[in-house]
Amino acid sequence: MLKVDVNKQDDIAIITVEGDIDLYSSPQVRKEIIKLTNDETKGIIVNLAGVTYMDSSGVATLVEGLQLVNDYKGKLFMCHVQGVVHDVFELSRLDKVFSIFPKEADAVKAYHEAN
Amino acid sequence: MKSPSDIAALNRRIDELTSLIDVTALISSTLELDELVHLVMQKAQTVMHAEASSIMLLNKISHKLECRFALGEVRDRIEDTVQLDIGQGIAGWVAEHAEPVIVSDVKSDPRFYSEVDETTGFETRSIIAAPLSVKGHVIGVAEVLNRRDGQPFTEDNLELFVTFCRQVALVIENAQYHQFRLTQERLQQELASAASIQQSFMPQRFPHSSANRFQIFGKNVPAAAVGGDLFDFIELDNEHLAFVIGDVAGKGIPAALYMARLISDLRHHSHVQNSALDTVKEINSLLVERRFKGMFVTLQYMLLNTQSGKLTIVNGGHLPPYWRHAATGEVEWFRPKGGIPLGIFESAPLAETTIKLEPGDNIIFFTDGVIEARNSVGEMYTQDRLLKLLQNAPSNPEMLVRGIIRDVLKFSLEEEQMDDITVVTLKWCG
Repeated sequence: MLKVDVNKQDDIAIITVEGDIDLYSSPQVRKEIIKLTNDETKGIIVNLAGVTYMDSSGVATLVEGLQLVNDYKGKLFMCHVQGVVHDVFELSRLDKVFSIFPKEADAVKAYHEAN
Repeated sequence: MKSPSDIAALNRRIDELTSLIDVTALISSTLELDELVHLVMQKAQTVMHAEASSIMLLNKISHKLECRFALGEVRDRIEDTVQLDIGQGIAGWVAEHAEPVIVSDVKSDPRFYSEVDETTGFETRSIIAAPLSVKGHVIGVAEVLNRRDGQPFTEDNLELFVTFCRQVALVIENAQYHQFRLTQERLQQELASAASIQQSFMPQRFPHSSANRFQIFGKNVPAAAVGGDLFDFIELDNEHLAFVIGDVAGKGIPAALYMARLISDLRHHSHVQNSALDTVKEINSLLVERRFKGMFVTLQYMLLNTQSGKLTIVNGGHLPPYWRHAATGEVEWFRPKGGIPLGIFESAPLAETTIKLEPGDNIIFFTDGVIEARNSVGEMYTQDRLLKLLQNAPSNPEMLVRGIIRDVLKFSLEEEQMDDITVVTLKWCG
């Protein structure tokens, strides 16, 4: 069962995901990302600390989020990308596409520095 | 000695019970839902001497009650037209509270929603309404209107009607489940058709070098769901053979359609662009232009000079290949200059890498379905296993590809294959 929490503070929203992100659960993550991008939330940070598996539909969901955020010059950062999920990003060189930070606080700091 | 009124009451009760038995018999018959509900409501209406009746079902998406069945003189003006919010009108109240109700004089009841009568021209005087519940959830509301003898409905009528409604709810639940199964079956058939259409895009015959300069073979084993792996060979001229391996993000029909269009674009642009890099850049632009739900493809595009053995690789975020050097027997995980997957950014950094193959060399391209195949205890096949296999594998591409696939399927044995498995192998003969 996937759990998705959104915590909005000022112009940053932190999406905390717990569980596997696959073809069946990725729409849940997508729904939250689309809500935030529709509101043109300037900073979206996806915390993947609780995610141990992600398939390509999960990756596509994050790519879509990144594309939408770029359209309005916002930022989408990720943090706590680990294990198999990290391998997925590294092997496909998506670690060059996304801004990935070790911890949530690092991502928040990077957002404030960029603005 | 029973009085005549007692006997009349007893007879009425027998009639009611008989009608319930009739209804149970109807339910176990194999009639269509509409016909069945129609007959059950007709029974209810007759035994309660009512002028009209209707069934409203809850639409799970709009959260409104919609009139699905109606009997009586204004049937046509009610069925499929009347809609009520939860809480609106007497039916809406019943849905909200999940309780049956008798209203003897609707005009003095503030819950009554008169607009339906105004639209249909029917005059409602009294109502019995009861919820249709399945496993504690209200799925709709049934009503009978106006006793023919002008008398108000009684508690006995209500009790009987509630029993009828239990039967009706059961019928509807069964029918909805049946409908759900049918839809599922149809979807599965459509997926199977999509999978076979997708397979038809994969090459069925393989390029052949009359001078035996090279041998090439590829195979795709689709997962149960329609997957997104692809491979293709494009013979450009006597000196150049392009080939490609890729993995579209996601599964199902969207991935299959994305893939079909991608293959057609690849075939076209391989012929019109001047270099492997230009072809891949053009494909990336096209995919970014028609971006959809973040879909992208990891793709490796190769251009082989069939005279010299020079192989140019453009990698868009795909797993790097293994290069087995015939002279040393070494199996190298060869990482060409990297680019990101295609379809994400217009300005994706892409580069080409050219290598010179030596006689007897093999180069093996694969998708993540190979190394991520899982066995019954959840272990992955991994690159290590692949590497070990390649160290002792035959150099004939067809035997090599079939050997890898056989080994992966043997490893995952009875586990459901979650992802497509694709392997393409080239042997440079010199």
